[in-house]
Amino acid sequence: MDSGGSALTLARMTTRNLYRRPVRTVLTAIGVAAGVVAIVAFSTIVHGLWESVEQTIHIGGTDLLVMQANIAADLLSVLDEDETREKLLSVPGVEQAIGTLWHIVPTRDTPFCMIVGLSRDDMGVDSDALLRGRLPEKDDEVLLGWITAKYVLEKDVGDTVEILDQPYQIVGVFRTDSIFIDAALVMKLPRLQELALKDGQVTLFQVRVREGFDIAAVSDEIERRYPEVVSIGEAAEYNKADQGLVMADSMIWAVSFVAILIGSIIVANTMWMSVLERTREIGVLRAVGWTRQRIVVTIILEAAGVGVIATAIGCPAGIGLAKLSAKLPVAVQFVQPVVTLEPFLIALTVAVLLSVLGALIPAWRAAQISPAEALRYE
Amino acid sequence: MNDTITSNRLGIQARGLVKHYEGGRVHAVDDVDLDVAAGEFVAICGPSGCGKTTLLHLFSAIERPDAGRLDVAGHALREMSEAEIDTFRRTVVGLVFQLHNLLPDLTALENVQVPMFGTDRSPRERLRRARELVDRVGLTGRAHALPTVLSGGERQRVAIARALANEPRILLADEPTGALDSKNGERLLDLLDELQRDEGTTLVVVTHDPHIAERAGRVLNMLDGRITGPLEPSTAVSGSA
Repeated sequence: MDSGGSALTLARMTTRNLYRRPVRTVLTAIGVAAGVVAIVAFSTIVHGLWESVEQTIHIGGTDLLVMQANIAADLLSVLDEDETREKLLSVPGVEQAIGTLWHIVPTRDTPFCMIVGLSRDDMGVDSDALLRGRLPEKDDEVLLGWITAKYVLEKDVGDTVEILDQPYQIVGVFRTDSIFIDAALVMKLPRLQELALKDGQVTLFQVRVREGFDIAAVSDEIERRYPEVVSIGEAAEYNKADQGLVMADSMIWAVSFVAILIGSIIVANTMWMSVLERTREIGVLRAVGWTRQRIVVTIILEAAGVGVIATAIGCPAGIGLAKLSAKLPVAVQFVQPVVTLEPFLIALTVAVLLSVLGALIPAWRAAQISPAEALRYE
Repeated sequence: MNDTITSNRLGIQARGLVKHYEGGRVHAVDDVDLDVAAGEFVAICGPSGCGKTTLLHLFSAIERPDAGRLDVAGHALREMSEAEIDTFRRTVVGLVFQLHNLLPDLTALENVQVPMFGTDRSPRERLRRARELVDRVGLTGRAHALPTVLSGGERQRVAIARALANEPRILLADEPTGALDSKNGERLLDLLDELQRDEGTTLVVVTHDPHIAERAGRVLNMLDGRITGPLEPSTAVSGSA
């Protein structure tokens, strides 16, 4: 008579063993999931930062950003506006070079306000980008990026903002493709140069390359002719002018490493307890001919199962945390999470690996169990 | 007694078999010589702690002897590597424990499949063989039950089915009826009888149970780690109970 049922496989045994103590399995997985959350949340946030940098480089159809060489942070860049423009325009293929000044000042409303000084409708801040209001016509008129308007200053068209004891009329609110610009206040360049005591100076140049010229080649030529500047064509090159993104990447791995360590210890503890509890069962398996290797594989598979559960718990939590962080007033100026597949794959790999890592010693212990001793074990 | 093992036709041959514990202070098996013919049903009786279970563990290669020679179904156990011992345990002998020792999270049908891991059988073949054995031990309707919901007799029948999974030539049972009532004990003995009769399986049973001793072809008495000689079943029963 057919008794029905499915064939017993190692995967099925693993599932049964994990399900044996579901609360313990889930709690262990949560311990590992902390690492997954860190990886997914930080990766999503940092990926968002990279995307924002990429968009900022190319905003308004710009091909290259040129900044001062040998600086640790982009805002420290100082270039002579006229002299640098002349140099850049002398490079074959350079069609246009527009200087902009970036400056951070306190206002009456916030201790930290990014101000961008524009000489004309560049950085994508043109009439198409306006959500409401108009472009500035006078020196004491300013525009607000939508993030600055909503979260930083909480002001809108018609309001006044006080910068270094001077009142400025808000005449428009805009939205571009760059979170950095959207989190800034925009005023006319000469006015900001005056305010920042940087007469005739800018932070960077937006360079547009003439059609038919190779952008990378023009970029190389700029740096070759003028070693005092760096030319950036994509986010991956941004470390030429700023170490922030590189540091953020390093932070991800530092946090992940700590999470890996903690997760591994949690898994090790759980698997050790599990092996002790199942000493007699492992003895029976050895007595009916299971090899040590098969016992090890069983324990490792269980640990990997914990890793998979941890990923399932940690990924949505990580995305949730990243999105929640992005909504915080302090973070909204910089954080725009971008969800991609990469952090999930990294998280899955790391979670499974760290779980397996934690299970190595318990698995080794299980493999050492003598069947005769195990059968006497109560 | 002949000191040289000369034939593989014997099921089990032991010469000067020794197993000590606690640094030699406990002589669990002490200079045992024993021949069990292929297809024979031998019961080993003796008081608790006399070394019966240790002897069974030596026969099943879950313990290694400290001295002496032991051939089981033609395999010289002391000369085998660990990998060979694993294969031996998986394919040559079947073990039935006193307390069944089923895996608690696996159904009866799944427990029977456990020893078949590492054999040439595909998962489908393992399932087919397990179904066959579960049917054979009369548990068709209980195939998907977990051990916790099976009666003592049912568990022990699953344990026998598991022991038979890889068609062992030798079945070793440690107090197989020890935890059963008389009715279930009888049913289990009928099953063991049937196996031995129909398939010529060599059967070595360690027991206190007089009914097993009565059914065995030969009853050996064990005392202080030594085989003290063959007994008539009735003597064995009264002497060891």
